[in-house]
Amino acid sequence: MKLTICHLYPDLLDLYGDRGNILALAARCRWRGIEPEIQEVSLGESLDFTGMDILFLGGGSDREQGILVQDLMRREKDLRQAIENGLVVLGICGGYQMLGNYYQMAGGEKIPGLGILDLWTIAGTKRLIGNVVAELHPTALKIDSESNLARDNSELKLRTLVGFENHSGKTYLGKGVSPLGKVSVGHGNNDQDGTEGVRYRNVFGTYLHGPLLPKNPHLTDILLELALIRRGFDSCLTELDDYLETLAHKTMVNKLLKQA
Amino acid sequence: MKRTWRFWVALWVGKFITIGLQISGKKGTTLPGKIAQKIAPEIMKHLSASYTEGIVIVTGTNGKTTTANLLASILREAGKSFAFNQAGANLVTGITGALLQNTQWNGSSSTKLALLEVDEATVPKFCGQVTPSLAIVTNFFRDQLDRYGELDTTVHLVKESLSPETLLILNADDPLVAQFGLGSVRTCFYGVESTPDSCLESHETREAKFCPACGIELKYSLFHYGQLGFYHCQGCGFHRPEPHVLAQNVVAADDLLNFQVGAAAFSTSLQGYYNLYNALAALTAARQLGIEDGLIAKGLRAFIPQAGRMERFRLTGGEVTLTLVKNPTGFNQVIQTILSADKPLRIMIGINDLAADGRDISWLWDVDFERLGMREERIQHIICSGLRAEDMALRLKYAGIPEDKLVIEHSLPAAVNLLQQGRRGDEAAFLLPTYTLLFTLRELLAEQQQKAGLTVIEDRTRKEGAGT
Repeated sequence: MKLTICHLYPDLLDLYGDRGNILALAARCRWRGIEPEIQEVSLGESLDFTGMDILFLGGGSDREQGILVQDLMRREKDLRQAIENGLVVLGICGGYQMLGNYYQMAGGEKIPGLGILDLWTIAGTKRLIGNVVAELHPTALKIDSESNLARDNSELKLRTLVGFENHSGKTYLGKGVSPLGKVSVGHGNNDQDGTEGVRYRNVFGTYLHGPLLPKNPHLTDILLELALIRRGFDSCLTELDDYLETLAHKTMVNKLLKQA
Repeated sequence: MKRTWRFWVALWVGKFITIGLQISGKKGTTLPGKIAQKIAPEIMKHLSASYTEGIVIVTGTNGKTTTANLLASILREAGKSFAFNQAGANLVTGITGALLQNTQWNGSSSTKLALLEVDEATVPKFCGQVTPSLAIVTNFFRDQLDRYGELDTTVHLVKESLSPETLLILNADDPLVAQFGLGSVRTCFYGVESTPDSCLESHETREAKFCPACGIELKYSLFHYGQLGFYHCQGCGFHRPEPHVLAQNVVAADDLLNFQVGAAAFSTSLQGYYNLYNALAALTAARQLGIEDGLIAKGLRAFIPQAGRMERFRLTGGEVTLTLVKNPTGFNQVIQTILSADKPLRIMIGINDLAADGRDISWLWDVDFERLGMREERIQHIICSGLRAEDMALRLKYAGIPEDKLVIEHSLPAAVNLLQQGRRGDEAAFLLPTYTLLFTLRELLAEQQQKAGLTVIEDRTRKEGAGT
């Protein structure tokens, strides 16, 4: 068994320890005897969405983000098709924003995004920085209902996401997509409606760094599971000893909820 | 310059508080600075007006305190007196406090020269009031991004705020720093030819992958560490400038770092090749101030590492080394140094997430702990402490350290004891705390060192007593 994980633009989108997300995906494959193949694809290099199982888009500084939206635009059709075919995608911060319709600058100018997810981002005046706890949306981590593995969050040991946000863009969700969760601590998508992140088909977008995946093993495993199901493997993932992951997750959640 | 009544009130109130603090035995230059600032917001401008030999500032991400202290050591060797914000109080309040302390009741300064460490985010505010004669810029790395916003912004703000009248002393090997020289006339570059650690390829997380001038990817023919090395841009031709002060024949031997600049030989007792840059920066600035090489060499040699920079303590179980960790590049350098000791290892890592440490601890995942993971057979255990001990342990698990070698211990005294429990003579022990844990830990170790010293003396008297 093998899963191909593509880290897109690792040299541009690697702010805030996002590399840790790839480390988490790879380690949790290896520990289960699944061979992880990490593809690092840089600006201008060839990219084949059909050959990959999980696509990771991290966050970058504003300048670097501008460079690569142009590059991604050329591959927009292929990516859209792959997503409609169930490609598992995790977009964080800048990687999340660019999947949407546009990013509106402070002066009103709109930089077009890939337009694959029904959401848009508007530049804010203050930076939204700090720890976040989000209560998972009831169906946020649900596995496709066509599969006999359909289940909801009640089966999960952890029902929160924990991480660190640092963004000035405010993201608003359209009708075609649902949020990943509801913030209990922190600002979330836009500091107004209490939503955090997005889920559309097998695409997950969020503002949470931390990095996100090591300390949210339930989310990591859903990404792996979705990718396996898409490849036709039907079995559930073997349980891992998640003592440290759960401890790190719960320690932070409890501390933050207490402070709030 | 016209001095307002506000200035006089601020000066005298500030000086009274300074004296009050001294009488009551308290240290600190921040409080008087803070209050004086409140009374006269432009007080730095007035306080800095009478330094006729100049004002030297040191800024950048890593090495500010070390560089400033090395330069101070050289200045002392050259018999100069100067104002100095010694305790690393490098924000507006600390700088104001240091200047206040060096200002007489009549408003004139007691010395003609000032040496100030200035936090990179404070440079714009500082330079709004003061025009330094020399500015040393050490390097730029990802550090506490949550406080400063993104690195690009910080670099840009520092660059914009430095006056064309200021002579810039720049690290030629860091493209983010060297770009300050583009279009500037008054520059002096320092750099390194190579160190034993320099290599053709780099796998570290690094900054500045793209040309700061045109945005095209930078090519490297040699890496020293991080993004420091020999770089050039294929787009606009921006490249590592030829250093005016170049370190050659770099060798680490007998706890000394030796190097040559031209025919002159220098050495420092600091460890780690990143400290070579700090020594070079201080050396370059000292030459600009007209100090001769002989005195510079003496000053560099006389410097004893300050609090928590590879500081050694002798405890009953053996020697331990304490060193501050605060960002990926610094931490990678520390890991490199630890592994080069070639001994079995005991390590304590303390991670806090208070404002001074950086609230966002995701930088831990940019540190190359995998290098420790690859040598885990040499590691006895790693004790994780501090407010984010669990996160640290988790990071190490994913770096390949077996879970049974990881210990979470929130209490610092207990963590220090665990570090030493059952320690064998050949094992090296390191304590790696973030900023807000450093001083508590240091006091704890100093106390234990004193006790250990007493025990040694007692043992000796007992033995001598037994002989008679």
